[in-house]
Amino acid sequence: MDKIKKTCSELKMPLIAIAFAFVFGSLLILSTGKNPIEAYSALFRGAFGSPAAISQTLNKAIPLIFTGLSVSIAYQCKSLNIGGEGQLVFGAFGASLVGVYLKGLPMLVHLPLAILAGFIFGGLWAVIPGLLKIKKDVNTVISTIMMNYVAFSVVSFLINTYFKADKSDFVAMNWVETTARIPFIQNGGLRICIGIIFAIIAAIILRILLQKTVLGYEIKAVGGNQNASNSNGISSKKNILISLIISGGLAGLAGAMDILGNSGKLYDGYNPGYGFDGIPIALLAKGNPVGVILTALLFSVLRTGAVTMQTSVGVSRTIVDAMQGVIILFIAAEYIFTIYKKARLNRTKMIEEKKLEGAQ
Amino acid sequence: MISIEAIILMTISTAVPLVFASLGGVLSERSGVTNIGIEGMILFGAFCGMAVSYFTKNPVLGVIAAAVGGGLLALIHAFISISCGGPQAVSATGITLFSVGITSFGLRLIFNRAGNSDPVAYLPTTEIFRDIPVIGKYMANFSPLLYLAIIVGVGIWYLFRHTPLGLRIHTVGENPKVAETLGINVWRIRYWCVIVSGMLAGLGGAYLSLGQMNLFQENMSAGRGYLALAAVILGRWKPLGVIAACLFFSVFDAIQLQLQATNMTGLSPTILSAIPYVVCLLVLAFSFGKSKAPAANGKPYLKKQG
Repeated sequence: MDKIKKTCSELKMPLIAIAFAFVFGSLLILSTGKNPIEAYSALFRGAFGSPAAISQTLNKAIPLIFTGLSVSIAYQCKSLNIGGEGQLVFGAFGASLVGVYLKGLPMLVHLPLAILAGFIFGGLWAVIPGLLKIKKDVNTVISTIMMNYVAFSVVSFLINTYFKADKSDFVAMNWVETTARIPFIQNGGLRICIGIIFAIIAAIILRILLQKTVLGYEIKAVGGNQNASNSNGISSKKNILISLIISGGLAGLAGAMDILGNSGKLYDGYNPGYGFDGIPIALLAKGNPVGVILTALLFSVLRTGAVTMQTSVGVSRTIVDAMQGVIILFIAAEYIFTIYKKARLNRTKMIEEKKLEGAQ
Repeated sequence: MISIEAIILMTISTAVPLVFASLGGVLSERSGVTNIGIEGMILFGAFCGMAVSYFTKNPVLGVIAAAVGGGLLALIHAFISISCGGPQAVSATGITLFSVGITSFGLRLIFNRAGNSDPVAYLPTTEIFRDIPVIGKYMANFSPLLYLAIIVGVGIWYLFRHTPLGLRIHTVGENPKVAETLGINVWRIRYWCVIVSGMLAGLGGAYLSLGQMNLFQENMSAGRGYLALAAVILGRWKPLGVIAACLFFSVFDAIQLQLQATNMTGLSPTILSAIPYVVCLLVLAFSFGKSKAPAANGKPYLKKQG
């Protein structure tokens, strides 16, 4: 019973934030002279209206779950990794390298290798911000975003020069070998990528890591209070670095899933924005891996549906970006509620103590 | 052929938005509030400036609107990070994402298309300086906002160096508890520092959309807010040092732009455009000693509950 109560109170703020974002979105829609109800119903139709729409919503959730998990694990250690997009692009590059240039392997070997490459490349891209943080105390937000710009440039350069496809209308790498493509489940109109299962497994692994292992305990301890954990023999530096590398790796996996599952080919100028979406997804889920699955689905609904909203009602899908910003601001402001709650708790405690004194 | 003259001129003109934004960063961080949302405030300022100039045909009003717009976003950040004591990096990220969304949305609302706005009335260059010997012909080509940036820079230097207010801001950023016992209103000082930092970032945005160009492009801030914050670290939170750091980054930007224009390296423009960011990371990594941020930077200060 208590558990249900606790979950309810934990869900309260995210739900308020989402509701407020929708209200804000309707104001924007009204400002264009359109009907918000019509626009939102187009949005939900676009996300759930047909088997094809449902498949698309689920498939789009795959990279979003990974980037959400990526931001979550870093945030558990109190670093905000907003370089997910660069790590994702680098991971996508790594996965395509293995996917394109290793040939003749059976799928059971090739696909895991390509996915692993995504994790490693993404993780490597997070090493530099991690080292800057622990050696020079450089704000992770700044270093990770710089790494984004560098990643876009470097990957674009590599695709344009050494890894360009032989024949392609656009600048891109070659198609990933079929042995490294993530399969789809087809049933009627449904066409769902197996990647969704990988994403759910990743969330469960991360939850076990955080709840049941020493590493998870240490990461959370460092995130909670660095000085206290240092004096208890937990190295804050080591854990910050490890959590950032795992975070980068997960973002890299998002890129790998997108290339190996969805597009099959890495184009020049690839930056799908999932890395940035990971930030509100993780914050809304409060860094809880299972919560991330739900919030990633929500954002996938918004993103997928917004396209239909734009084409059928004529409301620009950029309002989803603004709504995401509103959600984050709300989560950031949430502190004020906890503070008031604490203050109230202290007051009632004091009153009770006074009563006790009076009784004596 | 690379012309030194062109590089110097380009360095100065690309430094202007960085200088505005990083001076804002100095002000905010010296008072103890990190403002990573500067990126979003630049973008929002650029948009507000363009929009007001488009509707009023008056670029000066546009510049004012840019400052007000940046200040308003900063007010949200101030409320969340000072009054609510919320996590500042999170709030700032929210501000930036919000700004990206709302400006793209506004662009479609006004011009009914993505990408960039129509050309609008922009600030004339400072032709009045043309008659100054030797450097006059260069000075005349700069935007008046450049001179405003210099004035603001000197002003903030003077503020911290010679005024009681500067000392108060410094105390609030180093030790808010002591500041409060001295009778300083910590929250009020922080609010104003954050708001002014947003206004300065907005001016940096105005320079982009009304000074350097005459239109708004989606995401035209292009990471300048983050470069500006790196300049704050590199310049050790001191106004003049920070301006020097901005010029340092801009030199590399100017060089890469020149390399792109002359195409003499044969390297693709995409790899050249990463140069300023790589330099920035290298400098942060190899700058000697540990740069010391204001002691209370990023830490919310909760007033004693009455």
